[in-house]
Amino acid sequence: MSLPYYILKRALQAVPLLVGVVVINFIIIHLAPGDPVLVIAGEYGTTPEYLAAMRAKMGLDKPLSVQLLVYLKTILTGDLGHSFVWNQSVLRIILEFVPATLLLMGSSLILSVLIGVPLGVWASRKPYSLMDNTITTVSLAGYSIPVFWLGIMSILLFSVRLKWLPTQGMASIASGYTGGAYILDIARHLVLPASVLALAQLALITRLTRASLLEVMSLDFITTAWSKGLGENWVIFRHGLRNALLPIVTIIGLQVGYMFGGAILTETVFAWPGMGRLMLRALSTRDYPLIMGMFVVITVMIILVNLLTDILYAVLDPRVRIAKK
Amino acid sequence: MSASDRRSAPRLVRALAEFWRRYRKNRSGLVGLALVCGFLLLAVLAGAIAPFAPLDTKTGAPFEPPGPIHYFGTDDLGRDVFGGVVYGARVSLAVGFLAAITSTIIGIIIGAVAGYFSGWIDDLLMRVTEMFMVIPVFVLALLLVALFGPSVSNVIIVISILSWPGTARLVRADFLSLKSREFVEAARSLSAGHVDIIFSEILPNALAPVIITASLRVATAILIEAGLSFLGFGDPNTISWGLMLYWAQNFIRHAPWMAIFPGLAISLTTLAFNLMGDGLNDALNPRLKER
Repeated sequence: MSLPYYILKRALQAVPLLVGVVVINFIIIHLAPGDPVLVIAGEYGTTPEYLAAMRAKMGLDKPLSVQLLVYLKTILTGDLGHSFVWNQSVLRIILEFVPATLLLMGSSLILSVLIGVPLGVWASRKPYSLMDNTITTVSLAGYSIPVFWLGIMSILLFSVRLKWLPTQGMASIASGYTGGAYILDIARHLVLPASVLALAQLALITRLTRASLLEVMSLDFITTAWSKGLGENWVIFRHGLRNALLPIVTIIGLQVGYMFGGAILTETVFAWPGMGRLMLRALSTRDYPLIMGMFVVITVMIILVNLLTDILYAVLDPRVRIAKK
Repeated sequence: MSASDRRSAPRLVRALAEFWRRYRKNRSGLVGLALVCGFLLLAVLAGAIAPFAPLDTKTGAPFEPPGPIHYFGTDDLGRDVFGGVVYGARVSLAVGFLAAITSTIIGIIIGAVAGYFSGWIDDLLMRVTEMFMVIPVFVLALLLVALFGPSVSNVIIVISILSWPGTARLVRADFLSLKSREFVEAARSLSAGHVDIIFSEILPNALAPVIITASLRVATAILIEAGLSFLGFGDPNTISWGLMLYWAQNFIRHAPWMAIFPGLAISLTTLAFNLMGDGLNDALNPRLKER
């Protein structure tokens, strides 16, 4: 199977997945108790005529099956609907909040790979030694700690006690920073939330790298490499790690969904102005179009990342393309 | 049947003894098991251990720091933090165990049916599984609990419905490779039914990875429940560690003990189940047995 064909096949497989997710999303929202019209109208006082007019305006007076088809059709054209609470297009609201979340998730992912992989390599050098046991146990503790509690504790230590870093938000309000100073200001705000969100990921990547590398290092081609008299670093990094990294690529793809959960919690603790906080606001106002839109956007992002890691895997390891017909 | 029962009882005992002999060797597994037992005791004996009921206000002055009467201090309403931590073990463990067990059962059934029958049933079930794998569990759990109402039982149901795919895939893979083995052929030639073959012939041989995953899932479920409660979408009428952290948010500078102790409890419980998973992995993983 050639690479372009493989990519096309994987991309096509993602379409029914997406439709399924949209349908599930739609069903859940419409099974839920509570009337969005009443929630919106509540603030203005209600008359039956007003409620009926609102329902018609939001399309809620039509049968569910019609609503679903209409929803699917509009989503496929890239239109996620209109939020009546914000009186704005759902897509535009979401796009406003996406960058902050992507910045947070992206930087913690980079952080966790940059630290996790070397730690895993280090641990695997002498399996079951003191160093290995320490790294393994500490990383297990790392993903046992709830991310929001870690956030609170890091605020206590680094902001309240040591006063090193700011506690809340993404930038200093009314600072008037521009250019380089502005970027530096955001970076200072980013340090704590990104590190906190990274820890669980980092721990997982450390353990996976270790396990994967241990397995690879027992294979024949490594023995061959040793017997050729190659140096330790050369064997570990050029022969071992290159192959051991493959499963890690896949896991990172699968972990992105998990990371979104962590991001919501982290954003709440640090008042980070991203999708997590938008989600909580949407839930408390029962802003159905916005809730549905966010769920679709998040799932599309996850499907895309999975697609990317699949493709990356196929590029790195040609066997995949042949084996998985 | 009774003859085979008599023979299989000691076999089970022997298998358990063998399992324990292996499990015992893993120090972290033992620490995990001890911690789990400790938290179970805490949950069961909460009434006898905690000097104050967790939701009673004015058991002392507001924001009393930890001391001889209130071991972990008091919160803004004068509730005893120690009492909350002790009683909170109940919700965490109940959610953790029940969600792990239910989702494991769902996963076993779906995986077993898919792997055993293969063909279009397998295709269909695996597409559904894939869909559930890309759905972000915490995000959807949050959405469901927010829309359907935050109660402990809803939290358990939601976590169970969302976290079975891992188990299903493990079970399916084992069933695919086991169903054509001789002992299954033998059972089939004795005209055993599908249900019989699935549950009494194949499943016992596919259980090891399922048990390990279930132990780790208790930890995940506890973290999800705590996260939901922390965001204010947990059961507001039942004390839980996540709820205590939700209360603590506004008083972090003022009364850090309100946040420190419930968070430590969550971390230790989750760690305990993860350690236990490690121990089970070493004891049950056939690949390691050979060493």
